[in-house]
Amino acid sequence: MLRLQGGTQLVGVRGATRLLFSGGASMLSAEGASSIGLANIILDGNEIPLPTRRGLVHCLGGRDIRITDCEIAGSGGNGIWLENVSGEVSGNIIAKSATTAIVSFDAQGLQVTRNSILGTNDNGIEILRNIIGDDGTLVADNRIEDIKAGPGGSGQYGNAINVFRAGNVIVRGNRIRNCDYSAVRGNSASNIQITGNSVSDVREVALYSEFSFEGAVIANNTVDGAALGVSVCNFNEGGRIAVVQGNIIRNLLPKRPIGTAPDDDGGIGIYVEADTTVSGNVIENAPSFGIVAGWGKYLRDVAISGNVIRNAFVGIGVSVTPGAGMALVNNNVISEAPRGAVVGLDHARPITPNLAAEGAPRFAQVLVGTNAVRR
Amino acid sequence: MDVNRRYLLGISVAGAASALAMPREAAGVTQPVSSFGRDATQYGVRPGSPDDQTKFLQHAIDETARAHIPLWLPPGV
Repeated sequence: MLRLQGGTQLVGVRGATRLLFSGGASMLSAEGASSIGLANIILDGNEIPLPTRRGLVHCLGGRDIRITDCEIAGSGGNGIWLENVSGEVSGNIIAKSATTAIVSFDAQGLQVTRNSILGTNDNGIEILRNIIGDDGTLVADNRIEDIKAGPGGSGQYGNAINVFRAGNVIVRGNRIRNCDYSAVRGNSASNIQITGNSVSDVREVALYSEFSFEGAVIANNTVDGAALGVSVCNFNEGGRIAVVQGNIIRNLLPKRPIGTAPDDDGGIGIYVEADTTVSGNVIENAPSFGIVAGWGKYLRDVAISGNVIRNAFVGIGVSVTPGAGMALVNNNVISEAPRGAVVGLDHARPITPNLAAEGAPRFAQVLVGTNAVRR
Repeated sequence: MDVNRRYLLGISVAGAASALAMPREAAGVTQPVSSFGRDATQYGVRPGSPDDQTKFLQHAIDETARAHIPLWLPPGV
């Protein structure tokens, strides 16, 4: 293992300088060392297993760490592991990681940009904190493909980008393809912005904001191929406040992977619970629901307007069980929804006829306005 | 601009030379002067060698970091 001192600048010839790992806890390790630069080097992990919570490049506590234009191949653990670090990880290719390509704990001002992450067994990028708080990492313009949930679980693995307990993180402009679980999974991540990402062929919820978050913007993404396009959930844990706007979501799968909670259905375009607006989205080919608002009593102050839903079993489902809060459903276009354009739900089960039809039953807390419906 | 650049180059050569006096003699080759910094071969690192280079690389990292010079790793494994 090589120990990096503060100020170390390692520079190679891109594509030609290769460091081959011969064993140890990490290949390059830094503790409390700042201003480290690694550039234009191939770091070949030789598929030698690393201890848990180690990266082939391992940096603990350093300001302005810069890892740029390197290739990290065949790490037997994580590719890059950062704790309490500021700086940037940019322009790298990270291929075939035995666990996760890039892990950051308790970042102090970090940018993860323009990396190609190809093939991992756990997750692509993890932005984590030990306790809930401001993080502010920028995750932008990365290409992330072929992410497996090797250890199984119910969502801890198989995600391109995981944000856990880290607030004010920006996930923008990433291209994400072929993941066992999510493209972006914000868990207890307040004020997360998930914008302008291109997602295809993921097998669980494509874009997630779950557990105890306050504030999520999920906008201007394309999702083609997922079990559920967008989920903003866990009002039961305090999860609330979201804008879901301007997304294209289509070709949804009827089932989530084995291991998720049995209540968690697939085939849904957008699912929301509390203090949320859903507007200007286009959803096509949803085997169960175009949009769902609420789970039992966990529904409050949701506006669903200006969306286009085509070919969904139910267009828009709204919880009408006792205790459920208010929802507005107005100015949407709903085409080819055989079970009904707008339907009241008891959890996942439709229990009313089409609420958008003439003479339909009324619920005080659900305002169904003018929607254009084509059968 | 030219004056500044020459000035900076001069500084880095002087700094490098003092830090490298011993390894240079040991390696018995001419001292490389490069805007990239110090060449790792000056510390006994051998690209393409089947032997473990860890010790030499560690020495090179320690010396260049102390002298605030980039360490240049040439092509090879």
